[in-house]
Amino acid sequence: MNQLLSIIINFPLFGVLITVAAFYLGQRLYQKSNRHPVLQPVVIGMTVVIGAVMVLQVPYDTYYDSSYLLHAMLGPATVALAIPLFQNAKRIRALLLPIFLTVLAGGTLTVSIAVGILWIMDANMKTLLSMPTKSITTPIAMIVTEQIGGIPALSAMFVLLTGAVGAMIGIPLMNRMGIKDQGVKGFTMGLTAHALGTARALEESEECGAFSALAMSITGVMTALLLPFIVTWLR
Amino acid sequence: MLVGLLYLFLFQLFGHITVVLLGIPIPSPVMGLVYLFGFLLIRGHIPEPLVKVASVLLPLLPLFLIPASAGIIEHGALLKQDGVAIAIALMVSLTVTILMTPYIFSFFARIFNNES
Repeated sequence: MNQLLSIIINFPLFGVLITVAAFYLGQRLYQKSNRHPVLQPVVIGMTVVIGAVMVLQVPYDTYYDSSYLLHAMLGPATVALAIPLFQNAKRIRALLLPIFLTVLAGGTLTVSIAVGILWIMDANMKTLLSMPTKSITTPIAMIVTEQIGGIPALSAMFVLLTGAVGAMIGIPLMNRMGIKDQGVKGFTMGLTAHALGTARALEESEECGAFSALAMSITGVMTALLLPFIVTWLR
Repeated sequence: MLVGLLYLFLFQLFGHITVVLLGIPIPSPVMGLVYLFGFLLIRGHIPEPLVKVASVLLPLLPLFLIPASAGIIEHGALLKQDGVAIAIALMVSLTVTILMTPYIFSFFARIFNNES
């Protein structure tokens, strides 16, 4: 029995196998839950993988090495994000400049507050460096966090939490503020809560979703382009 | 599908060459994204192989995130130590930004409309 287990664990595609299985399970549960924002396939998948790795007593590095095939695809998939960005940018060309400036201002605001609070509360430097990507889409967040010396896994957690909470409170909060413009609502959702906010914005209306997707793409790319320089400069 | 993948690999390679040669701290895939976006702007439409590869690859993006995300098990101590600060930082920054962004956007939209 122990021998069989060790054969399985040392199977070169062990990591790929359990990751794909966990993700599939995550997708099924997500659909069954009527797409509840907390039950994202990636959250369930990650939890199942962590559970399996702990039960089987596999060191994380062993799992990571044997799932590298999947991790390596993160690069080309990130490049492919140019395609939805192009589609969305085409749709809302007229407002591009105000959108650009709002992303700059809103993005700076949210990062400054979050990092400022961590700074005041004397959090670890690694935590601080994993925070600035909290409101952008996960692939870009993880890649950028790795670049600036934070912990990609931690940044992914921040992104998921921000997205889940943002998707839940964003629209009700803006309704209460009396904001009716679908574009403004969608824009705010995409800037603050990336893909999860966009999914929620799409439930409001097509226009709301389009603005959200655009804000999400621009926020992600601008953060990725500016943040590494800012961090290098601050050091 | 294959041609689409080649597009993506090549654009990532162009991004990689740029950041390494120029020594700039931008991740190669992000540079590749910017190049592909520029390419699409010049072409004016999305080539069919790219439409295909995006429709296959993008729904699988969360799958590609799992191996690195699971690395959180290595950082239990950090989470315990900074948990409260993290929760406050995330909640406050999120709420304030949701409250402020609609006004920032309206402000810039108004300035821009007045000019034109």
